[in-house]
Amino acid sequence: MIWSDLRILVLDTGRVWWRTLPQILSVFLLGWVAARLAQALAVRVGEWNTWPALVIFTLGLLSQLVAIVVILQIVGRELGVRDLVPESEAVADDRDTSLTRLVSITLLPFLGIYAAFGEVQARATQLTNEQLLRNGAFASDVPSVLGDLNALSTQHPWQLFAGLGALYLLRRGLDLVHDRTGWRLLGIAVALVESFFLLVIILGGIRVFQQARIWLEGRMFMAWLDALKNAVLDALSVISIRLPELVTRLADFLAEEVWPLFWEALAQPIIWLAVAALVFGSAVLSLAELWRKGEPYLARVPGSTVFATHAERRRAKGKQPPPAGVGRAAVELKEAFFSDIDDKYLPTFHSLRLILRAGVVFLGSYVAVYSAIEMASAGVDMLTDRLSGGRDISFWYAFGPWIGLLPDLLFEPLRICLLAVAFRRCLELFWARSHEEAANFPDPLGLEDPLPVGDAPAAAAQPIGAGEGSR
Amino acid sequence: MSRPTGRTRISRDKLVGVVVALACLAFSAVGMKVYDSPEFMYVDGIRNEPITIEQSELTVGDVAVGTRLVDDGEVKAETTGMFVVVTATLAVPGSQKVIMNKAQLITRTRTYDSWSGAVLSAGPGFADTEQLVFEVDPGQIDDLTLEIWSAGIVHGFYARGRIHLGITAANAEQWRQAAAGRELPYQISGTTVALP
Repeated sequence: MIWSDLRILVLDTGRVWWRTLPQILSVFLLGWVAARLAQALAVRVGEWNTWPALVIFTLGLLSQLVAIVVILQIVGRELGVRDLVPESEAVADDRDTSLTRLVSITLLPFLGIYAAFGEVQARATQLTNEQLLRNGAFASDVPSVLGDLNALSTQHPWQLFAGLGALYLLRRGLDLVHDRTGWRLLGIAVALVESFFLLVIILGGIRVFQQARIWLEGRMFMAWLDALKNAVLDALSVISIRLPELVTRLADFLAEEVWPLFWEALAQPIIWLAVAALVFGSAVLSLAELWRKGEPYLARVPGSTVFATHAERRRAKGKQPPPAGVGRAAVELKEAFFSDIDDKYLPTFHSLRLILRAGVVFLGSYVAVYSAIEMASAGVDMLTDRLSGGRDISFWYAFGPWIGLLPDLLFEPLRICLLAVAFRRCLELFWARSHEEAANFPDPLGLEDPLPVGDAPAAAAQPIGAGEGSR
Repeated sequence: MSRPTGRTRISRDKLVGVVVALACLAFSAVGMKVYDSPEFMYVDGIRNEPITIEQSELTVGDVAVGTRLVDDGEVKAETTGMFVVVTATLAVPGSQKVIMNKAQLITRTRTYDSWSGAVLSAGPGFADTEQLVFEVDPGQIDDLTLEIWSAGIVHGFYARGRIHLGITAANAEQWRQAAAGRELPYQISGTTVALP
């Protein structure tokens, strides 16, 4: 079983990568060029004012995320992920045609992933470093993005909170207008404001959090907690096995060795897969349950997906039109807040749940293939570094992004292909489980034993290229 | 020979699958650990032979040991341990100024920071010679090796020069004896000469 998973993941990823190579490379390069231009422009604008620089920086980040979403769409189409949804369950919405809609829905989790695994911080550091190299470390009269955000969050935290509140309201306002009008430009504006909002939280809010932690550490009750902890450890020290030391060592080991490994090696691939699954639509996310129950009615209900419009979702939830006046404002406000959770967080959570249900065997093989790609990328990265011979910072400032492009160009599209292939495999596994009793296949998922044509979704369980013209 | 029942086979298959899946996870974890990108590479060399590092040529020359540093007959510093004075020359034939501002001596178990904080700095077409001074524990000098590089607030993948000073476990005792009570001539400022 695991060999089937490994083989499908490796072969199909390679094949779909090769088949879509011109398209996905073009999209990836476009995203990369846009991000580079935005970064260079942000550095220069940042010498004049931080806020427009941050907006441009946000655009750069957004362009790369859009590239990932588009590549996932291309690869998903090539793999026929949507074909895995039976004809009767197909949902007519604009997920395939409206990129702005797709980006606005998937942006938050993607940005969340970028932030959680340090990518946003790394980009911000790169921005700061480039400013530092252009202006020097002691150019105190030239503003820097991180410096200004630090100053704002440490000296005027309430202004920061007020600004964040205003940004949130602006985004919700734009979101509502976008929902009701469907103007694509507004969709992009929503995505931009949302990214900007998140970046300010990530880059500025972290300082507020640190300040709060420092403040907390200076409180008397923290000293009481310390005293209590020491008393417990002292009490334990009577045991001859040096329990306090062991506990401290165990805690250090878990925090410094086990957790980073778990986070990097296991959590990262799975969360990426869960977020990538969002691109293929929330209806697909609930497919496993639908197949299992055999009552795929939900997808046919207008307003049941995150791709539905505001009015459709209200109708689907059986909500009456809101009352007039203050009551209406309160209802709108409440809904604005909760619909954010409905639209952005819950799908991600459900997606993660779905991926985890695929089982340890599939997840093990997926994580191994994902890690192999990451290792190959790191290996090429190290190789290019070594070939450069070790250089001073001015060299890296000028050529670093171009040198770094090589491993990215080789392996990032491959990684994204793997995400799509892995998601399709997930769907195949769920399909097979739901049909296990009805159709007694000896090995319904193996490449050698494809699903019977009559029962299977068109693209299920066939290696790419096996049915030419089917995709 | 009896064949195992279907149920047994499935259980065994599942067990093998889970074990292999766990092995996959272990492979990922180890891989992530191994492929933690290094920040620099070593450029190895030996004494009196130049090495090329960051578009410059670095030559580590004489190594002297003692317990007192003397400048113009005046004792500038004295140690109960041992001073190691390494003479190094940085020549820059290229077009950009090069600065080597960080140096340390390492053994298998110890790292000794620079005592003098001397910096090798040469503009294009010049060579700078400096005395790098380290205070070390005489009992811990086996395989003493100089590491020297250009350290900055911001850096990319950079090169570190690594030169073995010639002190080994076999001859360490002779170095210790040579250092005992010995005065070392020491100049704070180095010399800069134009390249031919």
